[in-house]
Amino acid sequence: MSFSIIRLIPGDPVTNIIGERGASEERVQEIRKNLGLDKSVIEQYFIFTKNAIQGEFGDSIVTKQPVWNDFKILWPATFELSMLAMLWSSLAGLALGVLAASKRNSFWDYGAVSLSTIGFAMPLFWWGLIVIFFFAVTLGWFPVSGRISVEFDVPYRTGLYLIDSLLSGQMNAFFSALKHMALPAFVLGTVSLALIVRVTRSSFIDIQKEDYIRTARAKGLRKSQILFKHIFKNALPQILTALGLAFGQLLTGAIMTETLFSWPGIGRWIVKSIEARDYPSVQAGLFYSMLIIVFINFVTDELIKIVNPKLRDSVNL
Amino acid sequence: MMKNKSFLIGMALFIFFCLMAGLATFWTPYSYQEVFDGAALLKPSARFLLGTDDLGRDLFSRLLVGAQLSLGIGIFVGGLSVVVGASLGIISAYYGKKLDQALVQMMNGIQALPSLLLALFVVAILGGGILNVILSVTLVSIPVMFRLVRSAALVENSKDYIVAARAVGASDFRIITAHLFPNCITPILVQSAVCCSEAILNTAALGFLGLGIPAPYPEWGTMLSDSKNFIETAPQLMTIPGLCLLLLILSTQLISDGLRDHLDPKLRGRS
Repeated sequence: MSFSIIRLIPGDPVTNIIGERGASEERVQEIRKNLGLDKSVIEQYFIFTKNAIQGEFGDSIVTKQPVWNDFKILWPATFELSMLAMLWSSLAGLALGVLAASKRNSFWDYGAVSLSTIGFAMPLFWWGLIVIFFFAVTLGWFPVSGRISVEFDVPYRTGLYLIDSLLSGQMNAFFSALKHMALPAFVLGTVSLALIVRVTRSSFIDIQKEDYIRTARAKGLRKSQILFKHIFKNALPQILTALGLAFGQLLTGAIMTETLFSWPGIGRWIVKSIEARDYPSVQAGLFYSMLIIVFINFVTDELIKIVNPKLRDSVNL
Repeated sequence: MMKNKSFLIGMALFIFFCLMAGLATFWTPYSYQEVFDGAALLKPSARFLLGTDDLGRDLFSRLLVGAQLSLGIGIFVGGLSVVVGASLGIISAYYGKKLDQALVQMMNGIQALPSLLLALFVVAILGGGILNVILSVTLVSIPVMFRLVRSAALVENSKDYIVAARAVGASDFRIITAHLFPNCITPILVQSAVCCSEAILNTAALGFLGLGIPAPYPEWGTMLSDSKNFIETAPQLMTIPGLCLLLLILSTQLISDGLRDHLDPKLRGRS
């Protein structure tokens, strides 16, 4: 699929390489041959499939590097950003959802419900602009783009700047990276937050009505015990499902957030590659995104099976 | 239905935007593409109600025409996804077997990627232009509609009245149109509102990434993308179209929530 979609894009990558000024006919043929574009579409497809299975997507037309190299450099940025976004949104989402469910029809409840309703409708790119306007332009607390200030030189180990800077013992670099990451992660996590608040609240409310919760109350268990041992445990499968969904949405969110904050990650890479008609990069980007999504779905399913034994035997969820 | 608060608020907002779009068909203060020399990035004033953008075009006029575009695309895509997605869903559930499998697989294929990413690729393939944008956002909204309607129709299809209708010799067409369709109307209505809001959001997102409805058209997402560089000097360029976008999407979502609560009493009080 990722092969066929991208081949249909009008525009010739060869023209993109040599520019509009033109080159000799022999040179054009030579480039075509190097890129494998002189063969028929069907031949190209088989070569693509064979290479894809071996994890080989060819060289990027723009950077002239193997696509895997580009991806390897860029993905830690997206990974780091997504993890931070997921971390704050799930913690805040859980807390807010539990608070709303335990104090139903209170100020907190209405607040949480309206927050998640608005969060669902919020166009991420506008939210990002507002956050930039407020925290970066007006208050000047945070930088608007990039991953770290230029004066820091962090040795490459994992590619995750937060970890790399800690490993090399540069606390200033760590805080600089954290500061750069704060706004994008905040924006990226907002969508997941809305989802997690909503699911947590509604599943807690449902479970509170169950008989075994009444029994637990009648037994005189402490509130915190009921909350964590009984309600939370039973709400976990639903919350995990929501987390999996939120993870899936992160990729879409990352495209927006990274474009907005000039974050050198996969999302911006995909958009840029589409604009430059960089076939190998776009194909690889599509392929990797699908792999990531399949992987996330797999992990969520397995986790749900662990926390909910009832589902362990069922063949498909 | 009139007691349903979220539906009422959503409807009020929606009607407001309809009026805005309606107004734009008859009257705008200036043409949306008229460039005023030396009037770039003006603050709101009596002459330009909401100020002007970086090229010296009237923001208010552009906003009105933008409402027309967003609303038009939203309603059109919502309708199209009903026509295509819902009928495919019912047909798939009714005929079953290989046709069903093939359609389900096809929809799975479309859904393999997140909707925005897919829309992005479709637009990249077909190139910009209003029609292509509509096509891409419709394509990504069909699978969800298909799934919901198919599962609803599967439940209905096994009920006694369908068996009875078949027994008295009703034709396939009659069973589908007179029995299955009316009984699946709840998910169809609710989901069409969702499709509408998704379409508006995705169109704006494409516009923001520079792959949406091409310039001169004042699409709100494109306007937001243009406003990026003038956040400091002219914040109203960024705040107002974005607020409109948020409220319009919010209104369609509130309507779909309200519809669901009203039409499906089992779900009432949840969410």
